[in-house]
Amino acid sequence: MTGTGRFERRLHVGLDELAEPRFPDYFDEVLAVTSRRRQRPAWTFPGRWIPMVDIARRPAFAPSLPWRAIVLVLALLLAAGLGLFVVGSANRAAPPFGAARNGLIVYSSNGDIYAGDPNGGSKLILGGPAEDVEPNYSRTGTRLFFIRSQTDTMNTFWTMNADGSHIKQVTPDPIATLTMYDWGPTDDAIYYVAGELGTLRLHSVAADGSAQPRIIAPDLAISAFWFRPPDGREMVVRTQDSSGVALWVMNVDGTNRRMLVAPNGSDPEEHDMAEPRYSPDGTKIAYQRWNWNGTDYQNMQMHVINADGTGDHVIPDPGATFDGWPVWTVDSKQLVIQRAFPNGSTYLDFGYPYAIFNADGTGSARPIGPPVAGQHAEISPDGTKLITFWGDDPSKTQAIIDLADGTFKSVPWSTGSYPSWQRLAP
Amino acid sequence: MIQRELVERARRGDHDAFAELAGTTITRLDAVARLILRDRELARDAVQETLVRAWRDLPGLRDPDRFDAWLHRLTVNACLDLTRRRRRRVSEVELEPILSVGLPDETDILALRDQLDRALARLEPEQRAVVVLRYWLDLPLPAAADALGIPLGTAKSRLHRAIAALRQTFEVDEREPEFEGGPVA
Repeated sequence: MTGTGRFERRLHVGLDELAEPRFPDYFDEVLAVTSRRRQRPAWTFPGRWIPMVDIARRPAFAPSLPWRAIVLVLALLLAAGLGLFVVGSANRAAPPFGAARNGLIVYSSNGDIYAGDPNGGSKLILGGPAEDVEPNYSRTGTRLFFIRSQTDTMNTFWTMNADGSHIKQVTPDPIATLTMYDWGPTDDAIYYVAGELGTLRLHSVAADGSAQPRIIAPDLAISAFWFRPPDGREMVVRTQDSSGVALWVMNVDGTNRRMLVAPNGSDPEEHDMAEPRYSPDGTKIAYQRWNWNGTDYQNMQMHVINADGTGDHVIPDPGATFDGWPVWTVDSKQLVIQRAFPNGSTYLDFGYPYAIFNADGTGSARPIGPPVAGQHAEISPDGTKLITFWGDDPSKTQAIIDLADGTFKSVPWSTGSYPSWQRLAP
Repeated sequence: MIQRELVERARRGDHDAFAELAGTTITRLDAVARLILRDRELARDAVQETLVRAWRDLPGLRDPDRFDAWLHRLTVNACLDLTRRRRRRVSEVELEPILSVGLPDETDILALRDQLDRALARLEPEQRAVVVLRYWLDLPLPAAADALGIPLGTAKSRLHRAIAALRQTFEVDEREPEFEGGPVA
C-alpha cells in the first residue's frame, strides 16, 4: 500500500467514526413542514423554458408608386389611422418583428393575470379560481396565451385577447412537462417544447385550438428554439441527446435543416448553447458554449456566428468564468449578457451587473443594472430598456434597466412570471 | 418501489412518495452535514433546509436518475450557506495524537477520530465538502464535482489541497505530542 493509499484508508475509517450515521429525530418535523408547502411549478425554474419577445427590425419597404398616388394613399391611411386611434389605440396591432412602441407588462400573481404599467398601476385581465400563470403577449401585442395549471406538472395552453376577452382552450389534453414555449411568428400558432430530458420534442399548436398539436422534426430532440427575423420563416434549434449538444437551422416546419454548430465531444450539459438567439436583423446568432479542453469544462464563453454558419468568434472576456444568456439590442450591434467571475473557492460568482458590449468583440463591456445571477431578461419593444428580475426567489422583483445610462428601477408589483412586454404599433 | 418511480411521483406532488424518499436519505444527509459543519444543530438546520427545498423544487428536476446527485448538491449548498452566515467560533476538541502511521486498530480508532476532527476543522468548509463527498460518500470525483457545482478540474485541485492540508496536520500532530490534551483554536 502506498503512503497515499494508507492515508486515504485512514481517512475513510476516521470519517466513518466521525459520521456516526443515525436516523435523525427531526424527520417528522421536516415532513410536517413540507406537507404544508406547495411545490413550485416546473416552468418557474430558470433555464427550463424561454418564451421570447423578439425584437427584429421590420423589413425595408421600397415603394415604387408614383408620387401623387403615394400622397393619396398616405392621406387615406392617415384618415383611417385617425379613425382607428379614436376607436382605441390600444388595439392596434404591432408588426410581429422589429421595433415597436412599449405597451403594458403582463404578469401573473396568485393565479390571476394582470397587465401593469411600470409607471403606474395594474389592471386585472383574468381572475377566478383557476391557477393561471405565465401570460405572454403575442408579437402583435393583441393576443395573450397563458397556462392553466391543473396539477403542478400537468398544464394546458389557453389564449385570449389582450383585454381578457374571447378566452379559448388551445391544447385539449394536459401537457406533462413543459420546458419552453413562445408564440409563433404570427398570432396563429404557439410553439412549445415538452417531454423528458433526452426525449424533448418541439410542438406547434393552432392558437385557436382548432387542431391537435403536432411535433416538428420528430427525429430531433429539440430543447430550445428561436425564430429568425425578419419574417420568422426559419428557426435555430438546440438539440441535446447522447451524441451531445448541437445547433441546427431549419424552416419552421422542420424541413431544409442543416447543422450550424456540431457537438464537440463534451458531455451534454444543460446550459451548453442553451439560448441561441438571432440578432434582430437575422444575420447573426449569439450562443453560449462551455470551453471544453477534452477533459474538463473550463469556462462558459459567448459566441457570435453568422446565420450561414461562417465567422464563428468568441467574445473576449476579462477573466470571466461564465458569459451567458445573451440578449441583442435592437440595432443588432450589441449584446447584453450575464457574467460570473471566480471568487476565492467559488468558481462561478455571479452577483455582477449585466454587461453590454459590441457583438463584434471590439471595445470593452459596460456594466448596467443590479447584480444578477441567471435571470431571464428581454429588451423592451422600443429597444431602450431591459426588463429582468433581481433579488432572490421567492421575493424577486421585476426590474427595468435603462440601456443608455445603466440605471434601474423596480416595477410596482411582485411576480415570478417571465417578462412579457406588449408591443404596440409604432 | 424503485427510487426513480418515487421521484417521479414526488415530482408530480405525491407527498407520501417524497416522505419515503426523505426517509431513505435523511440519515446520509444528516451525516454529510455534520461532517461538513462539525455542529449537530447547524447540520439539523442544513438538512431541514435541504429537504424543504427539495420538496419545493422537485418539479424542476428534469432527470429523476439525478435525484441523489441533486440532493447532495442541495445539502452541500445549504451547509456552505450556513457557514457563511455563522459566526466563527473556537472548537474545543481535545487532542489525542496518533503515533501509529499504519491502519488503525480498535484501540486507536477513537484517537484517529479526534485527530481527523481536528484536521478537518482546519480546512475551509468547501474543502471539507469535497473530502466528505469523495471519501465518506465514496462518490467518484466527477460526481463530487457535480454535487459541488464546480468543474472537475476545480474539484481535483480542491481535493488535492485538502488532502495535503490534512496530511500536514496529521504529520504535525505526530511530531508534536506536546499538544496532547490542549485546546485547539
